[in-house]
Amino acid sequence: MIDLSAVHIDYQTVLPELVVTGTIVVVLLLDLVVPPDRRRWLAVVSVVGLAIALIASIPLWGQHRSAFADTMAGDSFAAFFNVLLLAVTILTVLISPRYLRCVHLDFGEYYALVLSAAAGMMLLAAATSLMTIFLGIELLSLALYVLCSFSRLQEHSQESGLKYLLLGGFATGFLLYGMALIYGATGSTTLLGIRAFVTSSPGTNVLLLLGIGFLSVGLAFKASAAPFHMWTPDVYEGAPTIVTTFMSVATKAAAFAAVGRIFVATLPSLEAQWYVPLALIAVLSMSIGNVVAITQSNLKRLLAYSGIAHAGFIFLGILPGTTDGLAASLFYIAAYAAMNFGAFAVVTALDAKGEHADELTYWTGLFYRRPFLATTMTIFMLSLAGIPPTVGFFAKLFVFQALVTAHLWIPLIVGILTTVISLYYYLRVIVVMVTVPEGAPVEREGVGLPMTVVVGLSALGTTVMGLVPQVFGWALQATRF
Amino acid sequence: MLSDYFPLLIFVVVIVGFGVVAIVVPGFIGGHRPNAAADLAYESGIVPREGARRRFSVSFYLTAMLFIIFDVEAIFIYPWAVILKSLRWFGVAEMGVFVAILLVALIYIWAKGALEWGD
Amino acid sequence: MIPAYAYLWLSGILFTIGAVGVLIRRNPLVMFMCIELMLNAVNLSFAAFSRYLNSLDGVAFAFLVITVAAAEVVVGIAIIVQVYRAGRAMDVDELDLMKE
Repeated sequence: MIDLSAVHIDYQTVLPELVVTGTIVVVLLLDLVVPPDRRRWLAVVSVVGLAIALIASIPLWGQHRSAFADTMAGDSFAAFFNVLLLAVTILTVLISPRYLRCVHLDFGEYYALVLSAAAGMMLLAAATSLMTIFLGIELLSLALYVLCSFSRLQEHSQESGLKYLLLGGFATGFLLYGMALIYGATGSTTLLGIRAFVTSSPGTNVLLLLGIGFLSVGLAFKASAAPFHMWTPDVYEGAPTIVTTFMSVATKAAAFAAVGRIFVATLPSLEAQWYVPLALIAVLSMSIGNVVAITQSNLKRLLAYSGIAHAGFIFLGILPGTTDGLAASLFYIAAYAAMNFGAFAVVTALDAKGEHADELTYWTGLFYRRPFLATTMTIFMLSLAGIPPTVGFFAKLFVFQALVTAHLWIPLIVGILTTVISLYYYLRVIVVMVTVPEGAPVEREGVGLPMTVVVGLSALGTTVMGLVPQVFGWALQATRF
Repeated sequence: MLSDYFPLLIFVVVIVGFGVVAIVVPGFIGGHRPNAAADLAYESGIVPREGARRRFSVSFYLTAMLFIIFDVEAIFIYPWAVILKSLRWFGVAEMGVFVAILLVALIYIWAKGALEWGD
Repeated sequence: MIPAYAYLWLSGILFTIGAVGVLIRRNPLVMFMCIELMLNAVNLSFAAFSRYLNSLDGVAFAFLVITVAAAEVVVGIAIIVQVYRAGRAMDVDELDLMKE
């Protein structure tokens, strides 16, 4: 008789993931019976499922559950990421139907795939075992490979999917090899077991360090941090804009959840060994991202490089190896989610209307054509640049503060310098938008109520979140593992 | 120690011997009347239409893909079957959920026409 | 009995062959096969560690890797076929996979 109590089956811990998975099944079956002109009902069902999952995540706040033989955690950390990821997913689904109809991509699978990616990300955020981390990463990646190449007739989209698939598979190989080596070195696949091994037997273990190295390569790839960022601009540019909007924010957040759990919660005693590689990743990401972004004339590529730079800033908070540093990273992720989602949502809104809306030349004089979108875009750009009183400023402030407390001066200096460089290209977008265009203004159709609400909410979050001190308090509490 | 492998040796000898006999003996006892029909590749009595090195249609890849995915998912049923007795009804219910999800996928691809051999 | 490190060497060599293959080959299908080689090299490591540590975790992990790799193959082949059909306006029947 196998003792199931040792496995500790606890459905409440994984209730949010279960709800999302159930919604996937329902949406798939509904897609078979719903007539093509009623596809928006799939979006409605998806949003309802995601909202229920969001509500189911809240009771996990403040708990310290560990279920399924220590492979899944139900704690504040998971709740924090669940709420963030589900909110981003809900906003994405809200603006999807109109965009998909405009670009003739209105297929039911889309919603099932977005939900699968969301389920994978939530699994990743709650995973406390190498197995569940791997499953989460693969579930989100497989769904995103398909979503990137979703535009069946567009060569760019196909190429984007293929590149993401090949490089993503390559990174998965490294990730897995790292996991195998860690398992071999510690004899455990759960983070708890690994932590127990690392604290009980100090001293250099080559197998373990090699494993951690390979694992970091795989995670840095998913978070699109330099020097593993090469895929990011091409994939972001080629994928349908709505998919880019979703993945640029959600994938990064989910990958950092895993980074936080592995490095800060599991391996703090090895900080001396992992500090230099992670510091290099952070410094390289900030430098490459911010410098190369200057030369970009395509807004999706510009935001891709900006995203690489922000991945570097988020890594900065990990460097001190303390939960306070991690809290700064978490706050940064929440801020990044609001401002970057907003910026990409504006690109999506324009992309649904005009051709080549992602080229910067299209944005000339946007203030006179679309004052609302241009104003919100200005807020997002100021926030991404880190100008007070937007949330982007406070996010950078908290991360820098964590570095000062830990006396980590070199990453701090690079962070400040590259922030100054980044001002140039973020402000350039604003300058382009206020430039008076030549010739008569073009179309002035509306972008639809859902888009207006979503962009407005993102702008509101970007302006207000930094001024509400509770948000950082939540980030702090989320890191009490 | 080495004697443990003796049955295996007999097994190998019998297999190799049968193969050799089956290939060599017909050459002596069979008749030889070469003609066009006898020189064709043997495909269970069906007259082959073209060479073996032909290209496959896309439908083949589609079907192969679907086969792989459903085939490999069955891997989880093996360890489950081994300990089913001790898992009792809990195990049956859990596997029921797993198979139900696979079933939904099957219904989906069926309804979408992925199982039609498109020509 | 063959020592554990022999399996680990073999796994490492297979993994390296796969990784180098991804880097130097330019045919997407061949690159994809190299990725599969990397994943299977990892499976060998898991199985070897599992035996060496006398724990079943590694074997369970290998099971997961096999199924996920199958899903990845399916998604991958679908995208590759689609790229050739839509992007290059070339029928997959015209593809000569054996020549690179």
